[in-house]
Amino acid sequence: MTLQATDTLLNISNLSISFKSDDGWIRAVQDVNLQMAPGETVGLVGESGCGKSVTSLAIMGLLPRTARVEGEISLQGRNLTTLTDKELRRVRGNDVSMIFQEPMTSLNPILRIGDQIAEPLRMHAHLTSRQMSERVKELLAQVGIPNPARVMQEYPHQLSGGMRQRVMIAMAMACKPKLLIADEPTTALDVTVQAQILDLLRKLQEESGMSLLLITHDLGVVAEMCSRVTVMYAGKVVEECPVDDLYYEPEHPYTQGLLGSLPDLDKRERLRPIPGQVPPLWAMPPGCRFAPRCSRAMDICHSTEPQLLDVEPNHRVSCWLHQKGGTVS
Amino acid sequence: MTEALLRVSNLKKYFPIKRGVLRRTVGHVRAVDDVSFEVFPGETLGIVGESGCGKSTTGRTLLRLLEPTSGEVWFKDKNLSQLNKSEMRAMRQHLQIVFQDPYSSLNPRYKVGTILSRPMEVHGLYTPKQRIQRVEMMLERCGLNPSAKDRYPHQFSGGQRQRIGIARALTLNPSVLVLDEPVSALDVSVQSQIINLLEDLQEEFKLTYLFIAHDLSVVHHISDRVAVMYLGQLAELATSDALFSDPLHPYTQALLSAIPHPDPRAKRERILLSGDLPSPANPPTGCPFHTRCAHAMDICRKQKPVWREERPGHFVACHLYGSAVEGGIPR
Repeated sequence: MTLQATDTLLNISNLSISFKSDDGWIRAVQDVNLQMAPGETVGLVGESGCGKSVTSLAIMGLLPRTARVEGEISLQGRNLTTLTDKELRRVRGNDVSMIFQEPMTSLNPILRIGDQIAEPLRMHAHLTSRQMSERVKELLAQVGIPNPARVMQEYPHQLSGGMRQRVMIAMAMACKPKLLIADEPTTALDVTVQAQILDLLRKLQEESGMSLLLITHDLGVVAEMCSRVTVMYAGKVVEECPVDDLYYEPEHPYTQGLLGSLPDLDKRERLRPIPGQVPPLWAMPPGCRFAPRCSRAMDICHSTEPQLLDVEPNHRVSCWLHQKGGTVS
Repeated sequence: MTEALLRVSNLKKYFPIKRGVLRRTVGHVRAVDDVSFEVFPGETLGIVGESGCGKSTTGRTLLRLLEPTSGEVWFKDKNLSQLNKSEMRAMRQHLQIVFQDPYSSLNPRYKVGTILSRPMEVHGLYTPKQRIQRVEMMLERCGLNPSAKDRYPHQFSGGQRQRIGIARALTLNPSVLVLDEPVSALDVSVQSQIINLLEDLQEEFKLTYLFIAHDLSVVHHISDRVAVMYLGQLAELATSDALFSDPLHPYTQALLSAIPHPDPRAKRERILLSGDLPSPANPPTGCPFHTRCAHAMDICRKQKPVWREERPGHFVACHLYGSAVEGGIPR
């Protein structure tokens, strides 16, 4: 989607992230572009190691110092990659916040729930301690925790997985962020609890008008929550489209392969898996990174990398089948 | 109908809760509470349920990897619960298990060849030369290069390790395979490879599967019949198609309605369950689901529903069915 500059909340352009290894720099993410409008929900989809989580950590400025970040990440026109630590701290938890997959490991086990939720408020808001505890109670109630006054005094281990994820969400919502990044927020949860949490995220988004970047491997979750989706494979964006197109007209063979791998609830047919496995980061094939697993790969796919180009308005694909040099079938 | 290969009747597994310096037992976690079902030769019986419902404990208890508190498991004409340790060990040749985590279920210090031939050594099967041949054959059958036998588990990806785990289970030529969340730790594209492999192996070796998983669409895909567990008890059991198209138990209905569908235009009528799962240490009286059930009646709080065959082959434990209630069945 081409967005007006004023309409863009988040604009990632040509983002590349490398990590140093014994054999030199290894590029985990290459040339990622992503735009988000205020209030929008965008899905970032891909399998383990595709670079979706690293991308989100880069937005938060949470990558280790040894990582090399190239390109630009701007939030409301402000480039986050050039900010100092102090400036970044003012953005983190305030304008952008994040929730993670494992609510147990991301909460501090020896701090009471109330104190943990108050932490972002202490950093970013100027409240008296009474106001603070009122606000914490309010937040807990907002995320659907029964009896907030009691839960405030409890420790993470006393809560169930779903309740812990609610606490994480309360913490993330404390300073009314403009962008919430949710990295596999429901992967560790049971399906009925997942439904509750997705419902909650939708409700909070409606109330606050924040944008939601949902990182997941679950195409069902994407279909339910997102308006647009970006598919990543081996560190690169392979397809970007409205969520309807993803299911009905996926253009990239990888996206098609992902859908073919899913068991269909309506009919039981043999699954059509993608053969082989994701290449390791240090042994990326030249040309298209998906070519070794692609049933429609041509000569050019093995030698030259395709560009991410429009195939129709709002739908971009990085595949030689849709570009000059390859034949469109 | 053919005779059942595996018959589980009134299986219970209670774990004691111990407190204090004297480690006195103060209560029990009822992980599996009076579960009965049959598995027929060549079929795949899926067991679904959410974490803590007792599905994995059921799988392990029927292989006696955990000793059952009470109940019986019959394999053909043998009562497994009556066997002594060495008889049971010999019996495991016919009943094998594949675990969820392909990282922790393979010993990192042994080469794959050793890992795969160990079960045959333990059971005194084949000559050493035949074992090696069999290891190579099984690796190949499971989609790996036979040279994999000279490498260590850490040299393989998650999907490949799961293939190794399956190959190990098959070296003994078992008739029943308990698959405990075999694809949950894998990425979607690899998951589908393993599912297809399991289907092929089942056909080739005439295997009977007990497929335990929390992913409902995977269970629907692979199973002939599916059992739904809640809080240590069976809620419903039917053919996969009947269960997914026409679930009877309110819990099954809620569970199925919560599956996210990859089609954004799919119609959703979600039944949101309120509250958390009650503790299996202190399960509700009567029907275990009554605390979260939208249709709960007085009788549900007092009396445990009986396991009844509501339709041919379609079993359910719920007071909404049968003579207990007048009036309609909720849809």
